[in-house]
Order: sequence, then C-alpha cells, then structure tokens
Amino acid sequence: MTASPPRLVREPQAPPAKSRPHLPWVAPGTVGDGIARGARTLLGRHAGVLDVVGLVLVVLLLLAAVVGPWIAPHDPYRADPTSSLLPPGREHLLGTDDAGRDVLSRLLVGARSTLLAAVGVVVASTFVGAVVAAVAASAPRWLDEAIMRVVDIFLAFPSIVLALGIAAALGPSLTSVVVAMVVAMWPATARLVRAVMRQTTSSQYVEAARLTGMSQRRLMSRHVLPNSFDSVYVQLGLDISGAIVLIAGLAFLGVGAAPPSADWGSMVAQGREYVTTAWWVALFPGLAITLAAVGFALLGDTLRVRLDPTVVRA
Amino acid sequence: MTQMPAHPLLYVQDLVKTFGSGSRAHTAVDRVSFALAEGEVLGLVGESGSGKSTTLRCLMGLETPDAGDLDYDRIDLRKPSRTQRRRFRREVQLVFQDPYSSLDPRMTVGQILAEPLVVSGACPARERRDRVVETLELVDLGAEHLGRHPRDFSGGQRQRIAIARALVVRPRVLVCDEPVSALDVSVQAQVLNLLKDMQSRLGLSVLFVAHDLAVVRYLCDRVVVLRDGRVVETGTREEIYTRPREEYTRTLLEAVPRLDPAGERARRAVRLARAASQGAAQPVA
Repeated sequence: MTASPPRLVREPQAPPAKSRPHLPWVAPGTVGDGIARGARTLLGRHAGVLDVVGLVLVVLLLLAAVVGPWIAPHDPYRADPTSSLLPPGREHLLGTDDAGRDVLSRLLVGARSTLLAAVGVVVASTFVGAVVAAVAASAPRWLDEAIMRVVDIFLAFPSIVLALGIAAALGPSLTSVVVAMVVAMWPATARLVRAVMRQTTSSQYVEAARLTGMSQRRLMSRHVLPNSFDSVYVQLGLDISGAIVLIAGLAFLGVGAAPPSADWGSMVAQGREYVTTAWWVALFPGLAITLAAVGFALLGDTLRVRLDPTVVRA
Repeated sequence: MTQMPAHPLLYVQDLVKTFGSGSRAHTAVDRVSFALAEGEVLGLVGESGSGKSTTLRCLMGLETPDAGDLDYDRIDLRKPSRTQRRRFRREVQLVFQDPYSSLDPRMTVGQILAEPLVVSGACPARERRDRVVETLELVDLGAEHLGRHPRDFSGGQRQRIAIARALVVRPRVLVCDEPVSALDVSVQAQVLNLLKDMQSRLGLSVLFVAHDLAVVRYLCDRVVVLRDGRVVETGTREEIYTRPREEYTRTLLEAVPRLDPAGERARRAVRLARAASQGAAQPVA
C-alpha cells in the first residue's frame, strides 16, 4: 500500500511556495500573513485554504471568549436610550440595539457563554454516548439490541424539538438548555461509537492481540479505543458546530439565556423586530453564529484528514 | 482413521461446530479429527467453505466448539486452567491470512513485536529490545524498521512482520491461516521460503491451512483434505499427491493449473471421457 492518494500528496517542488503567503489575497509581511503562517505551521505542510480558514475562525472565537470582556469597547449591559439603534459607525463599530447597547461589545461578551455551552454540551453528550456505546458493544446481544433501540427512539425525534421540549420544561436558563441538548445529542454519538467499536473489535489486529492472552482492559485501552476514537474526534468539531447553531436556535425561540444577558441567539431574536429599519442588530449576531459554526465544521474536517493513520502523508 | 503420529503435540478429535439453529443450522465442522506431531508440517486443505478456518478458530479459542476434544501437549483446550491457557497462548502462535488487517495501524513495528513479550512475560524487560531486533532480523528485516508503521510496508513485508510477531515469543507451534493467499504471486514464494526456513531452523511444528494445493505440496509433510466440514482423506504428501484414494482429492488435484499444455490436454480428454460415460450411465440409474 505504498501508493498514496494523490489528493494529499503534493509534488516535491513545494519549497518555493514556502515564502508565499498561504491565502493568495493576504500581502506578505502583514498581520494576516503572520496568522496564515502560524496556522500553516500548526496544520502541517499540506494544509489547504479551508483548513486555515477553519483554524483562524476557531482561534478568533477562542480569543473573543477569553479576552472578550476586556477588549469590549463599551459595557454590554448598559442601556442608553439616547443612543438607541445607531447604525455602525466610528463610536459603535457594529451599531447599537434598541436599548442603546453596543452590538460589538455584546458579541464579544456573548462569545464566552456560547462557546462554553457548546463545548460543554458536546463533551458531555460525547461522554454519555461513548459510555453507552461501550456498554452496548461489550454487553450480551439482547441488551445491546435493547440499548440501541432506545437510542433509535431518541434519534427519531428531531433534536431541536426534543431539546425545545426539555428546555421549556426545565425553565428558561442556559443550564436547562445545556441539559436539554445533552439529552438530545448523545444518541447520535452513541450510535456512531457503537458502530465503530463493533468494527474495531472484530478486526484482525484486535483478534491477534486477544490471542496473546492480554487482559480485556489492555485490549480496550491499547487497541480498540485508540482505533475507534478518530471518528469521534472528527465528530467533535462537527458536533460543536451543530451545538452552536442549536443553542442559538433555542435562544432565538426564547428558551435560552434570560433576556438581558448577551447571548447571540437572543440578540438575533431581539433584532428581528428591526430587520427592516436597523439590519445590524440581527445581522451581526447571525453572522457570528454562522462563522463560528463554519469554523468548527472546517476544523473537524481538517482533523479527519490529519488523524487517519491509514492515510500516507509525505 | 489413518495413521496418527505416535506422540501428537496437537490433537483434534471429532470436532463439531454448528452455526445457527433450527432449519437454518449449518454444520461448518463435522467430526473433524487430526493430529500434529512435534516438528511436523501438517497441511489442512479444502475449498472455501470446507470448514478449515472454523476448525482453526476453534483450535485457537476464537470460537467455542459444540463437541469434540482439543488437546495440546496434555492440556485440554476445552477447559484449561489459567496457567495452562497462558502456556498455550505462548507456545502456539497464529499467522493471519491478511497482513493488511492483522497489524494495528497505530503501532510501530517495534511496539507490535514487543507486545506479545510484554503480555506473556516471555522475556525480561531489559532483553526485550534485543529479542525484537533479533526476531526482525530472522525475517530479513532490520532494526531500522522498528519505528515505522505498517502502512510504510508492502504486503510481503507486512506478512513477514506478522510472522515475526508470532515467532518473537519462541513458540513450539505455528498455525498459519492461508498466510500467502492475500499476497501477490511474486512475493508468495518469498514468504513460503521464509516459513520453511523458520520451520527447519527453529524446529517448529506447523499447522498450515490453505486452499492452494501447490503451496501445501511445497511445505507439508502430511495433508488432511477437508470437504463440507468433514475429513475426506489424510495421508503423507506422497500418498495424497501421487496416489490419492478419494475421488474428491483427485478432483482437487486436477483443478490445480499446470504449465504443461500437453499433459493438460491428455487429462482433459480423460475427464471428458469419464463425464461422457457417467452421462451415459445416468438414464439407466
């Protein structure tokens, strides 16, 4: 299997490209160029434009989540009727909303809760899903069947409907949204991990390892799990992307964070009334949600290519 | 049955394995018996579906047989004690058919070869690396390959790594499940020569499962022919290849392609004549 997929292997005359910027429209020596170079170092030589875009978006989001409250130009919560619905300008880069609050500041502050909630939901639902899958995969057949049918029942509901119902029942808060989304999202992970583990467990190298007489625990930790988790890592990126959209969707429908808090989804909901007169109130939070979701989806795809051990990398 | 070796090392008696139940039951292995003597190379031959792989899986403990006895060096493999199972796992090693799927893609060659040593405790930690390198050299690969992954090797090289993994614990018996059928014809001979060489140098007993009669003829001292889960014929290589007693064995041998057009034409004439006479006999019967 020395033949390599042509898509991933470039011709050896790559070196001259080294000094060229990664994104064709970024001039050398600028900050953008520096970021592109940094991303390239992180991603390896064969990163494409989309890999870089994904990484840059995610890095920007992380940056906003960490330092957002400090770099925000205005207080995101202070209402000021005199500056209500100001268009984007020098003082308010992205304009102000109906209560006169600075949209950019609210976006920066909202990044943290959005990211924390999305990552929290995905980590928790992946954990629950993986545990359920591991139990099912090593359980007797009837129990395995029973568990997976329950998973099917959960999967039969559209996740937004399920999450909406649970969140509404628990009362409007970010916590209830997180709980609701974990309940809505774990079955998909469970199904994925179960399928992958089944495949890994029946592979010949696991059989070969079992024949050495090693303990079940060593078999799981050294062979089955490492070879099963690639698809989970990939799914993580896509799941976070989906979670961001879902959280925003729930907030938009009014079951998310309580109104004054700077939440992207509820910002879109508030701005909805002024779409015709003050487009910036709804547009920028919507754009933030989209970019965050796209960033994580692209990053997930980058991971998929980089983590697959059967892909020969030159 | 035919002559059993005086002191068999590995011994299978009336092995039965049925898959499914009721009307869908299929008996994959039906009262199969054979024995492997110390230092002997025994071939297990049959078409696909003849039960040779299932026999092997029962022997290695990957399937639970429904009936019959499995014995290795006075260990009852159907209910071994802990220490007996450990000894069996160490002394009897399996080489899989497909070297593309039998090596963990995440591990390096060094890790793949060291793992059986770690698990079985066959050699102290200090000597492990030396043992791994020594075994790797045994299969004509060098220490420079230790840090590479299976994806960096060709099929023949991978199968040699798989053989090295089996040999690293210094087994007494090597069980080979069609070890060359997944390889290109050009590297088959290489791997077969290696197996033959290892067998004589290390004094191994080998149970060799294959559907390719030419391969079996090259390697094996004795041959067991299986069909539909039953033993059709057992005999020495000379007996099986020069004067097979069973019609089925003869059919199998005739199916082997030969680079002998004249001889092939003659055989074809005989076959046609035989078919014609049978066809003529049919309406009467």
